[in-house]
Amino acid sequence: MSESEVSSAAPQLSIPRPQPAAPFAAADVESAWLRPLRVFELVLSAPERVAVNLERSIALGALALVFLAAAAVFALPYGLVLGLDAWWRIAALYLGSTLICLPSLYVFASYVGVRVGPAHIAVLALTIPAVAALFSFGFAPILGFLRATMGAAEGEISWRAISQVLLAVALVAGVVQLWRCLLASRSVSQRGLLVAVLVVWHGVFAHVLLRMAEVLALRG
Amino acid sequence: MIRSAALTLVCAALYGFALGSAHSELYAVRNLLKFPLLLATTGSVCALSWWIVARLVGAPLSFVDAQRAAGMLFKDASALLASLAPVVFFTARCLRATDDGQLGGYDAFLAGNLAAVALCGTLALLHQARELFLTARISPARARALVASWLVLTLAVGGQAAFFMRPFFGFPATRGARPPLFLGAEPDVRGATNFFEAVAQTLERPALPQKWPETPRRER
Repeated sequence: MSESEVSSAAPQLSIPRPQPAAPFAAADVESAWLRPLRVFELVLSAPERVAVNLERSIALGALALVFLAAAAVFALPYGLVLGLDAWWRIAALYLGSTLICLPSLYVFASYVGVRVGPAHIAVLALTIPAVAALFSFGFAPILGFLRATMGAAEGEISWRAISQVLLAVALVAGVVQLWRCLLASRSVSQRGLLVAVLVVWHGVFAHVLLRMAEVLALRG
Repeated sequence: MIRSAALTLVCAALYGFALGSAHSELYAVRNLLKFPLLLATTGSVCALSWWIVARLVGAPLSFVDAQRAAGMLFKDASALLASLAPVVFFTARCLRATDDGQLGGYDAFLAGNLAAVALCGTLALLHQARELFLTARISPARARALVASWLVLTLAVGGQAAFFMRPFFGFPATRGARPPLFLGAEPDVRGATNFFEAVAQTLERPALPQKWPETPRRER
């Protein structure tokens, strides 16, 4: 058997070449209000499609609104697991911190010459709280289970300490998704400058988020 | 899917029975229920987060698909462990017949079973990553990232569930006692009240309390 025959007989493990991503149409985005599970696809599954929306400025306002609503609503179950009186705190942590920092991102990006509109910046920045909220939604049953089985006593490692780890993981997922969106968006003007602004902005955001966590008694 | 779930639970029960035989018939019979319950609890608690992680990684899996893929991990690992059940049962009976009534071969038996679980889990993980790559058309890197993320989530939740549901097998010194079905958050020999503290203590290796093993009611 020749070498070419051997190679053709081997199992084919290649995956199809990816098609160019299509943007989310306005109708796709608006359908999320009626079908909440669609939010997972908009927020999590297709950063390359959101990137095309950013490139072509399609349905950005609607996307920003869906991201905002996702950040507010899907964070509630995790807050409820923390305590009935804490139902709003996770939404306040992620969304509140982002909204506090949003003006600085837009103003500084515009000031250094990045030509993007407020809707672009809103979609990019709101990716963080939206993804973090969806992750917290997934982690809520886990935290509930840990809280129920780890006891009320504050031991060496308490369920509250594990909760902080889960919240950090959710936050990192949000930041990663933001960068996936940005890096998939090839034609954003002055992308290098925007990357530089975002790197610095992450420092400001981290500062606000940590302060917010202290204020909300979610840290330490 | 139901057939796979049933097979998984039966295999887990077999392995649990063999494991508990190292201590007593009471523990062995209890493990017939406790091991399947351990898997079912872990799967239920992690279900939502498995799906959300899959969406972030870009795997085109529905909620049911994600449960099926993660369930296959359990099924493969359970089948592999069940195949070792005769070996574990034989070893357990030998240890039980020859132990000193105090610690016996507890540490070696624990280490051996941890190694077996790690081996079976790793093999199931590699197999499932390949299956995802072939059937869900996910790139190898993403398939590995997805399955590794599932593993981390499952280990954290499954570890705590196992800690809460202990004892699965105990020190020979406790033979004849009738502990509750689940010890829950009751401190173990070194004072750990949850899985994460127990892992930390395994790494730090603190000395056993002075009174042990005169009053070894608490056990892993």
